[in-house]
Amino acid sequence: MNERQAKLRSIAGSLLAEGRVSLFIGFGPGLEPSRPVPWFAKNADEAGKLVLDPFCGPGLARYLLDETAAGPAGIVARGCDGLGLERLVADKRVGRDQVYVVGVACRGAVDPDKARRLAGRPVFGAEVNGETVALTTAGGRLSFPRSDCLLDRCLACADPSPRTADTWLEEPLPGAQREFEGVEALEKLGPDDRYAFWARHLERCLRCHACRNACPACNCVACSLDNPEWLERTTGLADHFMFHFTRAYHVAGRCVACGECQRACPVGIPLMLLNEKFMKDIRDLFAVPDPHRPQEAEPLGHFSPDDPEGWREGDETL
Amino acid sequence: MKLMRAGALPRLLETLGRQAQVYAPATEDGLVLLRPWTGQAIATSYVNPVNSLKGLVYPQTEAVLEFTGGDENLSLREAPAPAPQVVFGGRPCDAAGLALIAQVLLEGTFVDELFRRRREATTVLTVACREPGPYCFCRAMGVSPADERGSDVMFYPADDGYLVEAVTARGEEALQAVAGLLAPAPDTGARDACRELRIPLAEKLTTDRLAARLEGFFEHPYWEQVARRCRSCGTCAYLCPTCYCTAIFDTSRGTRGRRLRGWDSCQFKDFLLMAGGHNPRPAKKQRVRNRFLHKLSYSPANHGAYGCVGCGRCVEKCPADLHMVAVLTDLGEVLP
Amino acid sequence: MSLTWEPRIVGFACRWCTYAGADLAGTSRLEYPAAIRLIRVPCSGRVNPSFVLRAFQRGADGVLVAGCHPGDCHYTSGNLFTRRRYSLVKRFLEYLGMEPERFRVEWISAAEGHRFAQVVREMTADLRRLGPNRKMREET
Repeated sequence: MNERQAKLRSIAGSLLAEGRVSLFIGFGPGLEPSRPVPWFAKNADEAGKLVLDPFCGPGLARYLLDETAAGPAGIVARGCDGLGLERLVADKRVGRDQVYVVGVACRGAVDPDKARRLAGRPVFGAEVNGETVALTTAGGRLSFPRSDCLLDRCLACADPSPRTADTWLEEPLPGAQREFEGVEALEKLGPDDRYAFWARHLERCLRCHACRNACPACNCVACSLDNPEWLERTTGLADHFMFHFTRAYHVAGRCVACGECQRACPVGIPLMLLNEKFMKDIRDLFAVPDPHRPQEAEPLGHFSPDDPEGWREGDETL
Repeated sequence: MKLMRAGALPRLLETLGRQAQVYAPATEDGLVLLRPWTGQAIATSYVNPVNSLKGLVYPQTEAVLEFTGGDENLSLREAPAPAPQVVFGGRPCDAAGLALIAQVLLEGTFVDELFRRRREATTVLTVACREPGPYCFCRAMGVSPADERGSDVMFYPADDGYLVEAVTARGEEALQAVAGLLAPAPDTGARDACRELRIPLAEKLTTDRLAARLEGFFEHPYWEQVARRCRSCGTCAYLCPTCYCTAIFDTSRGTRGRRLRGWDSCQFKDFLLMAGGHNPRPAKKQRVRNRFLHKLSYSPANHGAYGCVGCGRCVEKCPADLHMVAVLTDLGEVLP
Repeated sequence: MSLTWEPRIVGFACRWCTYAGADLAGTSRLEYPAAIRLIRVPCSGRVNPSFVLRAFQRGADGVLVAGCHPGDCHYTSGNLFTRRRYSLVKRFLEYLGMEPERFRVEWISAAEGHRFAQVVREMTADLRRLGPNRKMREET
């Protein structure tokens, strides 16, 4: 029925049986078909329960931080997971030789909440076909535009497949250029409207750290956001501004645009609009065509003698 | 039992708002939240507001005391008393959560004055449920969609308004203030419908004899396996209407400062970190296990009730789907 | 708040160039508004962007980061990192809603006492026009 899934189970099963990995990270059955959960198979039996379908939403790369400590781990990687792994490797937090990457060609993950809202009932299956998504419900199949069904992070995705893999589950899809339409729209507002926008969203922040803990770039052993010298534990709007300013700046030039922070946020803060602002400016000011893909030289880790003065020139939009 | 027409709700809140700060559900960026009510549209179609009642009675951070001066002329001042508040639109599970927190903070040998003051300054107007949300499982935790625990007034949604019933003396008082908006109720149908509401997800879960079955389960390999997907964020605890752990910290500017108390989460890796560097729960396995055993085993043992009211927030919002329903489902298979 | 509000500027000044430039402005008896409070830093590259936001949060109406001209850094390249970093941070602050005039980055050498005085005069005039900053401010 699902050939990709069967193939993945068999690849993961062999990797585990041959002892090439001690653990395989993918998705497994969750509370309902539309919510598969991160799954950690330790043997062929558990690999036999791996799930691979358009509902596989959560980002997996960050789990490699914990799970490569005991030996090599396998992982099923979409483009976002692949870039997350590149980030961890570039930051020397995970050894590339400690990870066996099974690359896939991802066509976007269906947001379980959007799907249920659209269908008005529980959704059992989904199929992404170009610009439409077919949802299977007890009442039959319903078709919706892709842009209404997918996770936000998938709608902006330019990386359906990882850039490298140790084996491919299927023919990888080529990457594309990232666009920053959301950032551009916000830039067109005046300062007061922009401030009102961010104050409204950040006011909801719970400081649960779900964004930070979802992020493959937020991989520091000790985080300044846990240090009261840098950020007190008070929870006023000013503190939230400090939290999100610092978080976004610390991943500037390092964010891989997986969008997992925004997916993880329980109160719907459009965190990618913060990360993407840095990406867009890095692209425009420092001529980095794909700022979300880990670079030879980190955009903020080096300089060029003829860098522009970004506060003076070229920023007509603001 | 009284009947109130739906159109009278703003008048009710406005009347009660003369003496107190009123909170009501409002829609914001597609989310429904309990917000200070200043006459804006009151949201009605929601399962549960994103923020539970907890945050209004047991705020994320609140001042314990205020201080000024330095070594020589230090002066301390108790934090100002909370202003009266009326909260409309919370659900019975959330109100039951408040009752659970009250059990811990008010009924033991130590009475938490901060909580007591705010709890007593709060009138809880609960709207009972006519429809279960996809992730509701209150009945599995011994809470009903018409539960009265923790509420001062119950609002049972009827066809063209609410069936209204005071639960406490404070609730009676509130209803007297708005008596002009209430008419005699023809029947109790709306209340009965809420009381009889089926909660499908709860029917799939078994919580019978759970505490007894969990005995000896502390070292089971299940915990290590399930904890792998935890990301150690505080989403579950901060959305939870019953989690009550806090930390104390000081903040100062120049010669003025405050001692504050703020929510903490047992899932954060530094939650139990001691000054000497020892961390009794350094591993995710230990932290995740603590969360669920606290709610399913320690709480029943110490307070006679599960530390979960089945509101479904963790089910909907945990970024890794490590929530109460997942664990209860797994336990159904793993436990003897 | 006093009845006659005067803007407050927090200036982060590199000790080798801008701080000496400010000294020169003083010894040259140049007049400029007393709105600025200088914080001496070893290099403009020392200025963590969190310092800037924190200054705004704790009462600054404007913030200035100033150091040696590119090519003149006492530490060779500190200010070249500053240039990159604050090219982004300046735009990011504005993206969050801060008015452009409230935050400036300037190169002011030890010989440019006039330039220092002029920047402070310009900023103070801009801030007088804008009024006190309320954005991202801590509640007091």
